[in-house]
Amino acid sequence: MRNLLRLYPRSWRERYGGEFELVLRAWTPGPRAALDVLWGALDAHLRSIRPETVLRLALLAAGGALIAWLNYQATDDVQPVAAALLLFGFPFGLHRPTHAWLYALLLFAAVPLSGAWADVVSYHPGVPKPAPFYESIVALMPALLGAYTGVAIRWIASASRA
Amino acid sequence: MKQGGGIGGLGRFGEPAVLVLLSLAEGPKHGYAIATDIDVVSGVRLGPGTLYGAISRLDERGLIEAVPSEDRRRPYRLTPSGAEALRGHLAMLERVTTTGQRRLAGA
Repeated sequence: MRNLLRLYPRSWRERYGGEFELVLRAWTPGPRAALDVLWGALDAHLRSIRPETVLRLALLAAGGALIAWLNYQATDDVQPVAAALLLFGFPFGLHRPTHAWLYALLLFAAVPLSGAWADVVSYHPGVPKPAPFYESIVALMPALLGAYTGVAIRWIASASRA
Repeated sequence: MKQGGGIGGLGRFGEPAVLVLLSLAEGPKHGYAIATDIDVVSGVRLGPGTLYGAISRLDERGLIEAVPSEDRRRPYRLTPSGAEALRGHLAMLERVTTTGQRRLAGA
């Protein structure tokens, strides 16, 4: 039960963690209590979400959806997909430099996922055979390039201010 | 539905929050003592996640506050706005109960 405390946001744990741990120690353990703590942790996370996080997630979802749609419609012209990966990767690298790799990976994931969906529904405009799934890994390059260009520009801007 | 004196808008934590306020109306208590008191008074056994969901919401809204303590089991007490919110909520419940009983008597 006490391990479930780790599921709460850090700020919540700093404020209520000590007393909550004592309450959990005194509580009779069981699946119902564990589920209640899990639900409480989810609620605490939802309440701790800041507007900028919502904006970032919305941009990520919009970027992912656009990249997936472009890749789904793509024939042998992959430039629009690459351009979208570059463009959407850039702001995430600029604003979240320590997590640039994660956002690049999440944006990239739209490519193999939409490719897999195209395989499932056998939709391959202009391509007689679906490209091997692993080939989509090439899309990581523009995603990482876009994100780390953002990181580099942030670093240059902060270095020039110092 | 608007509820009296600032308890409204607590979502699914509305009822646990009222029970926490009701428990603290007797005097400062720490988390486990609040849960035990609620169990005795109302027969409702709040889970630990629900209890602290309600406590943290009430604390953020300034309806309850932590009493300075050296103990890790931090006690909470009702604030004046918490007491006012509870009074308003109980008055609303009283109106509902009175109306309900009157209508049932005529049924």
